[in-house]
Parts: sequence; structure tokens; C-alpha cells
Amino acid sequence: MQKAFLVDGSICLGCNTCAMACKNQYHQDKGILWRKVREIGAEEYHIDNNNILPTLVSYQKAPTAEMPMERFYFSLACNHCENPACVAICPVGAHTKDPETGICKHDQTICIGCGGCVKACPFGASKFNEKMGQAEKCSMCWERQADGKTTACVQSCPVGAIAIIDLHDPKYKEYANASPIGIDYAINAETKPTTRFIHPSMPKEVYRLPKG
Amino acid sequence: MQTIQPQDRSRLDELKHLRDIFNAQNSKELKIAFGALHSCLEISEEDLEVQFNRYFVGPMEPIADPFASIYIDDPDVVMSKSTLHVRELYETMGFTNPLKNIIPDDHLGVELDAYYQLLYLEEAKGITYLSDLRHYFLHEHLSLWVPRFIARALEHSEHDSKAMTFILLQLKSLLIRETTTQGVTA
Amino acid sequence: MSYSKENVESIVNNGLSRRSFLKGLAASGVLSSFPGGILQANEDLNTKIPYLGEKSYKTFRNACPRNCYDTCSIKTYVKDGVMQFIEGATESTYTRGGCCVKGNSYVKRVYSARRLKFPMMQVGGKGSGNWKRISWDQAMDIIAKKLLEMKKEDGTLLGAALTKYSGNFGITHYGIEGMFNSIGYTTRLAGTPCWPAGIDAQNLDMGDMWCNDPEEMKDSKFIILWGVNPASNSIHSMKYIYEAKKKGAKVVVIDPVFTEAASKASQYIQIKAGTDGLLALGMAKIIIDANLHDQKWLDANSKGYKEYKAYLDKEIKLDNVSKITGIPLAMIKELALSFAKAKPATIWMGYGMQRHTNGGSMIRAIDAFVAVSGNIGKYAGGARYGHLNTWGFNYAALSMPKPEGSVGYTGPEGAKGDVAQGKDAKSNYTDRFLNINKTARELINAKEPKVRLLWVACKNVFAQDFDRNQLIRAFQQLDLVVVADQFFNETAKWADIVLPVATQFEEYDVNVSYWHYWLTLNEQAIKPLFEVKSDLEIAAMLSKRMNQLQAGSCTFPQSVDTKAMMVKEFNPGIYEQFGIKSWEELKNGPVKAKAVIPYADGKFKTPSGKFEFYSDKALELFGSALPTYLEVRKPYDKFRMTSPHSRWSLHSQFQNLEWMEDVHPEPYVYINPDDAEAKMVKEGDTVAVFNKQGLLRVKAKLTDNVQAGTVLMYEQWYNNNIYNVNELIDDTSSDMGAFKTGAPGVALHDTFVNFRKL
Repeated sequence: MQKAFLVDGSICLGCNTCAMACKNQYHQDKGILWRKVREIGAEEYHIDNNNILPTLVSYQKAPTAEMPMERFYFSLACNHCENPACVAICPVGAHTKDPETGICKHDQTICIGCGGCVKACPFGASKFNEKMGQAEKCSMCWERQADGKTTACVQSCPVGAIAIIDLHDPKYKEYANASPIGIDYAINAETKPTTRFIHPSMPKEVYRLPKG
Repeated sequence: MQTIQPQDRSRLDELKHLRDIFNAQNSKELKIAFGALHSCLEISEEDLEVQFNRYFVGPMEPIADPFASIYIDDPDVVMSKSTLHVRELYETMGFTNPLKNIIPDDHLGVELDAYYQLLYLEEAKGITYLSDLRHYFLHEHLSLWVPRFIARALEHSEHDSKAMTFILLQLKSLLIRETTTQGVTA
Repeated sequence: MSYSKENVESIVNNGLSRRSFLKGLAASGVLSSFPGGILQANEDLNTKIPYLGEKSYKTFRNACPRNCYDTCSIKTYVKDGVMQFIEGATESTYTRGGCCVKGNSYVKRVYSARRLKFPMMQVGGKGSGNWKRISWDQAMDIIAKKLLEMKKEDGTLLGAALTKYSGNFGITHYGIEGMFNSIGYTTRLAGTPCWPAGIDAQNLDMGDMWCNDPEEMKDSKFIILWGVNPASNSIHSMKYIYEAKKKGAKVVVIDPVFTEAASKASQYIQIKAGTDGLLALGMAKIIIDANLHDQKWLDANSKGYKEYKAYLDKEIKLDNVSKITGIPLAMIKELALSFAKAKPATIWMGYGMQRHTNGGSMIRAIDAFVAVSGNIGKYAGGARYGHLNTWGFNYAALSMPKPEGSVGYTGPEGAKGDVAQGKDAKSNYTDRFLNINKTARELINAKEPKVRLLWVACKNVFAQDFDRNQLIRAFQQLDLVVVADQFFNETAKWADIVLPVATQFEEYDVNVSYWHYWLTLNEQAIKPLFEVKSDLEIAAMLSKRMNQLQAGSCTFPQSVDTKAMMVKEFNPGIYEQFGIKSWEELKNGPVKAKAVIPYADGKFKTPSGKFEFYSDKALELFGSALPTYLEVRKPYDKFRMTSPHSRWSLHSQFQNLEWMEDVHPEPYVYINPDDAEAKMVKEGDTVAVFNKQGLLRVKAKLTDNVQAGTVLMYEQWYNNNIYNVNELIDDTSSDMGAFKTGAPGVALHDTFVNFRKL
């Protein structure tokens, strides 16, 4: 099994409910968002203030599509990669990949704050909490899932734009094969990110008043 | 049971007066506690309270909020992780807080009260059972945030309010004295 | 024992050894020897055992009481008396387990260090910043004495004014009006800054404001979102619109702004602001001419269709419609005809559209178009605006009798506010009503007696009201300003006394929506922090003090329990409507009203009992019986400024929280690239936006989401930013509102500004 987030950008409102629901559940410190709603086409697309890296290298192929400002988004947390860099680099085993679900978990009680995962993750999923001197990231609410609930982000989304799918389930093979769908954010990333994305588009008919 | 030494009495008294300053609910209580610290400053009840509120109470954003969580967890929030840690400590110490969930457990006045009570047991009653906890509370909690609280407030008060500066310096010297004093030997 | 960090931490973290540690304390007699202070010895040695998972929390039912379509049903998770997190209630098919970005910040709102904590008095004069703590008793004493002194000097209490609006829409909060009702005839800032022109329009047309269940929209075949942006302001409605769209319905957004909702629609049509009414009239003419109107329904259910049709024939020229609205005629025709052919079809009208000088007339014109198309009284159809159909509570705390011998105002009277106010049928007197949308000038100009005391509740006057410079003057000339609030906002800055108010998690209440059909219980989930009190408790304390000073001077109960007051709101009608036997059933989750389709029975509460194209009342009050085209306010400066609601805040609430700063840190002015170019403004530049009212400095974003000639700024209150869009807005009235809400609305989208690069 490989659990993965399926994010439907065609219906995402960009309302940030998911990002705030995550904060509501885990009380991340000011400035830290495990899940971030990124605006397609905006310059901030490349920038993540919580990350040691000034730009996220794998976003260099950001969509060039002309999208109006503040209208189209994609919501991204940890990609729960099939071949996660954080697990590989962590010297103390604070990052683990759950063999059953494929969730990349981070255990803060073990973390020594070396920052290796923060540098290694091509997507900025691991955040460095300077106050705690430790890393932190989305662990796909595995405790909630174990308790029979879904993740905070999935439960809170008002339009069902985030879902959790099993990439190894034949039912989702269209998503498994196209890696990842729609958006160029991680072409050829060696870590094999699992988040899948349905690309938004402008309404078919758009009428704007003529100039002057 | 040990008899209390005069220097211990003043150590306890000073702590008590500072506690009472931060727990004061009106000008009068504040003035009495302030006066007991032997300040030679002449200041009216009202002026003292107005200044105190501007620094530590509100209603507008105070210069230095007197809650540990502000310095340890989150600059704008009370009742967060560190508050609940302090709550656990109180329970371990054997305290019940009748203001639990009303005044955050890590309010400076409440914390000074806890420290005062622990010290009182040692100094006045000769009970050293809790000395470890008192030291832990002092070194691993109070020392983490109170100096930052003092520094933030002093930065303003030094050129603004003699009374607040006096309170803060008293608190500062108390903290220095406590952190450098070895516990009483049983 | 010597100090060891590890030892102590193992005690703290390990329930078992802590228990033995504490037992040791008890045995040694330590616990009985504590000196006086806050903390006391804890003799019952309870140890908490950490446990993860749903069962380790105590849960409570809550509701979001903010001024919002969605009025979310909330489930609150509490551990050891501390709120940990919230979720949307899964029992509500509308909220469906989620809140919005704002709701999810509630934990940080309740525990914000910036909350008001104690009753305080500003001793150095308003705005001085010199504050003194006072006890609740002292606060009530000051206010009660002032009220009684005014009554003695003026012979009435008309010098005491109340301004209260939508900060908390919980039903028991009408107890604030009840508190003022219970002291005598007073002055009220009446009306609503929100939606009054549209309320009047719908009442003139249909005798009520009553919309279909939004959940029905999933079965609509054609949806026009007309000047409404649910993708931002009613996010839980979007799933029904998506479902309809998925099933093949066309979703059209008509809006001057390319909104978030527009970006998710099938079609977006940009229109010149303030011309929507004309477009609707043109569309009606088109479908009548094409014989696609519902003649049968019109014959049976409407009054004045003939006159209306004659007006369209005579006055509405389609070429003109196209020219004035800016929309090509072919597009208008296609829109009108395809709407008329789809059944059921519905139009959702936003509140922004009626914030124009011709706002009410535009809502009337759209109502008429929906009626002509035969979609009124139909499942998944309707001219949707809002409703108060599930608000049939007792308003027990509101309906207080006047003290004996009360003297009041003898001027004209009408229904005031969203909810009918307590009215004394036997008396010749009434309260005095001032227009809430002209608060500043009305407070200054009120005479005989002049206003001397102002009570502000559930309202941030300085953030929400208009003509700000005058407001400072108005506040300064008052003897006593009491602000009951949760945060220290700019209104509190100009108060004499601030009273800290409980959040909904600290009191009992009951909530319904003005949009969906759910009823939610709001339980007290945590103890009130510091010295905060609910508005009801404050009213009771004031009553107690007034009666001590002068027996019989206040009829409000002298002690209240918010739960008991909440219970008093229920009645058989509510139980019947929601299919419950007792309010206690709401502890299991929110419930929905039994399905009903507005006007399906053809009964309208208009004088004729029919849908009124021709309204005598409209003629009497507003000079036009028919929904006609009324030109919008003429520009008085270079650019139109539109100031819609932001998704990050509800009026002045939420944007001040630091969690919100993480997702939305600062305000912007949105400018069309063409306008920006002409003014040499680049993305990110700080610009001054100014007009005759004031000036704001704000960063620019360039986007053709706004049309050329228009700038857009959201209405928000930041904690550390003086930005306030209402500084630029004057208090010009919209056409309607006085009929049902006591005062006309305000035409805030008819604001004009200029800007330059700084």
C-alpha cells in the first residue's frame, strides 16, 4: 500500500481551510505550515520561508500557464515519497516509512535537529523549527487514521478537493502511472513523490469588458 | 523544626511582595505590595496602576505579557504547551490551583506563588522534600522565560517608568539570587 | 535528595512514580502546611494518564456565531479544561465535518493573549491609553449611576444609546437589546449596514425574505451566481454548485470582479458595477418576447405583470442594455434564453450588489426576472438572497417589559433591525431610532435629549462604520462610552469602560443560519477565562445594581445562567419545524428543518397575497411601484473602489490572529494593469489610495481580476496595521432598507478614489 494525497486543483478554492485545519490539530508555531496552499503562477510559488533553502529546486518547472492572480491553487504537504530522502538521511531514525501504509512519519521525540531532512527534501516538506531546534512535518495524521478518522486536511476541505488514495491500488492506476499528473512540480524527482494533482483550468467562457 | 533565619525571612518576604504585585487586582493591592518592597519612590496609586497595566495587563497589547507561553511557545497565545507543562508541575508539587483554566497556570503571579510556597516549605518549615522540584522549576522553567520577560519590559521602562524599572530590577535580582543560591541543607 | 533534571522529568512524565511521589508528600504532612496564596495543597492524588485518540477528549457542541452564510456546526475537543482543537460537525450535511480557515483558528482566538481580560476604565480620557482595573461591581455601579442620573435629569433614558450588530448572531445575544428594553425607552442605532436594501426589495416583491435550501442547488439545471462569491464567503455551498455542474448544469457568474467563484464557473460575465438591474430587466424582456415566460404561473401568482411588461416594452431598449452594462447583446440573449429553458433554474444574489445607491431596485429587477421565468416556488429554483425562516425563537431575553412609568420618544415607529424588537402595544412611546449607517453624524446631531451614554456590543464601530473622522468627534462628546468586546480594537481605544466578553466556547447559546436550514446547540466547553462574562451575565449584573440603587428601575433578571436562558428560546414551533422533542436532542448533533419550498403554495405575504411586480408599498416608500432601472451614483473621483469581504476575516474578526498572518499577512490594493501602467505603479509598490474622506497606504497587486477603472480592497482589521478600508467610505445611503430594517443601507460600493505611487 502507498497512501497518497490526491489534490483536485480544478475544484480547490484556495481557501486555506486545509492548512489551518492542520494548525488547529497540531498547533504549529507561528510561521510554520506543514500544509501550504500555493498559488499557481505566483512568484511565491518558489519560496517557502520555513525552509532552509531559499528556493525549492524541484519547483523550477513551475507551470508557465497564464493564470489569473489568486484564483488557482494547489495544496501541498509532505509528499510521502516512495523513496523518501528524509528517511535515507536521518541519522537517528526519526523519519520512518511505514511499511504497511507507506506514510512517511516523523517522530519529534527522537529528532536531534541536525537539519539533514530539511536540506534533503526537494519539496520543503520538513520544516525546521528554530525555537525547538528540531525538524517537523506532516505525518499524514497517522494517529487520527489509526483512530478511524481521516486526516485533518481531508476532513475539513469544504469541497472534497483532497483525498487519500492508495497508489498501489489498481483502481487508481491512472494516477500511479502518470507521475505526477498535471503539474510539473516534481518531474523525475528521485524520491518518487506520491502526491497527485488534477490541474485546474479557466472557465470555458470568460467575458471581460472591453478596454476604455 | 528549624527556626527561620532573618535573612531567609527577607528572601521570602521579597518573593511574596513581588508575587503580590503581579497578582494585584486593583490599585490599592498593587500599592501596598509595591510599598512593601521598600521603594523610596513617590507615586500615586493611580499612576502606579496605569503604568503597571500598560506594561503587564492591558487592555491594549502590554509591553511584556506576564505569561511563560508568550516567551516559550507563541508570542500571542496563552494556555499552550508550556502552560500545560507548568500545570503538570503544580500537580506533581501537590498544588491545586483554584484558578485553573481561568488564569493560565504560567502567569507570573501564579508561578511566583508556586515558587514562594516551595521555598516557604523549605525555609520556614524545614521540609526539604520538594527542593528538587523547586530547583527544577527555577532552572528549567522560570529561568527560561522570566529573564526575557524582564529584558523586554526593562528596555522600555528604563527611560519611561521608574516604578516599573524598580519592580523589574527587584525581580531580576531575586532571580539572580535564587539561581545562584544553593538549596538549604536538610 | 539533590536536584536532577532527569529525575524530576521522569517523575513528571511517569504517572506511577508521580503517584508514589505524591503519596510520600501526603504521608509527610507537607500538603497541609502551605501558607496563603493562590495555590493550595492538593490532597486527592489524582494523576492523569496520558492517552491519545478520540476518547481522551471531552467533546462539546458549538456553533460559529459570526455573520456568515455558513454558520458552521462545530465539535470542540477539550482536554483537562483546555480547548485542543475543533472540527466541523459531521452530522450536518451542510458543514460536513469541516469549518473554514477562520473557524479552524478558533483555538488561538479563544486563547489569544490579546483578548480583553478584565473590566477596565480609561482614566486619562478617551484615547489616552491610561487604564485602570475595576471590578465588575464597580463597572456596573458607574454605569447604573450614570443611567439613573440621566433619567432624573432628562426625564427619560433616551440619552442612552445602544449600537449592536453582527459580532455574535447567537440567539441569546438579543439579550443585549433586552437589557436596553428593560431600562426604559432608549436610543438605538437601528438598521443594518449589511443587507437592508435587498431585504426591502424581497419583501416588496414577495412579502418576505425567504430562500430555498442551498443544498437543493445540487439539482438545479442552471445557476446564476449574481454578485455573490461563495468560493470565498460561503465555501460550504460550493459543493452543491459543483455537484450541479457535474450533472450538466451551467453555472454563470455575473460580477464586476473575476471572483474566486467565477474562476470555478462554466461562464463568467463581467458587468459594469451598478447596472445589474438593467441587465435583469433586459433579460426579462428577451424571454417574454421569445414567449418563454411562465404565463400560467404569472396569471395565478402575480400582481402587476401587465404593468411590468408595459414598462419593459416601453422603456427597456436592448441596445441600451448592452451599451450600459457593457455586455454584448448576443451574450445577454443567450444567457436569458438558456436560463428560461432550463428548469429548475435559480439565481443567488449577493449582498454586495445592493450596496449601491440603486441596490434595492436591482434586487427587485432580478426577483422579477426569476418570477417571469417561472422559477419562484420551485424545488432547486428560486431568487435566493437569504432568510430568517428558521429564526422563530422566543427572544426571551429580548422581550423585557419597560419599567413602570417609563417615558420615551413619540416620533414615528417601525420595525427595526433584522429581528423584530420588543414592542409595547399599550404605550404611546417608542425608542428613538438613529440610522446605524450614519452613526457618527446621528450621534452628534441627536438632540432633546442629546446622547450621553453609548453602549457598544457585538460591534467594532471604528472598523465597520463610515465617516471615521466624525466618529472620533462623536465619541469624544459622549459622557460615557461602554465597549463590551473580546479584543482591544480601535473602538475600545475610544471607550471609557471596556468589558471583557466571553467567546461562544465559554457560554451556552443556540444558532441558526440566514442561509442554510440547520439548527445547532452551542454548549459551554470551557470555563470563562480571566474575568470575561457573557453579554447576558453583564445585563443581569447591571440590572442587579440598578435595582439596588432604585428598585424597579430595570426589569432584566438580576441573575442569569446562560444555559437556562438558552433553554427559554425554544418553543413548540421550533421543535415542530426541526422535528425534535427537546433541545437536549441537539447534544447529539445539529438538526435540519423539515423540507419546505418557499412560496410553492403560491402564498405570498404581500398585501395582495401574490408576487408583486407592481407594489403600492414600493410606490409609497420609494417612488416606484415597478422594478425599474435606476441609475447608480455618479462618480466623484477617478476610480470606483469596491471593498468586498475577505475570506481571511469576518468583518473585523479573525484577521488579527497570528495564525491568520501565516496564511495571509498583509492587505493589498488590487489594481487593473492598465490603470497601474497609467499611474506608473508596479507590482508590490506602496501606493496611496485617497479621496475626500481619507487616505490609505497599501501595497499594490496588479490583476485583471478587477476591471479597468476599479480598484479593490478587502474590508479587514489587522492587529498591527492601521489599514481600514472604511476610512475611504462616506455614509451615502442605498435606495432601500428603511421599510423593514428601520434605516436605508449604505452604498459602500459606490465609493470613488484616486491613487498614486508613493
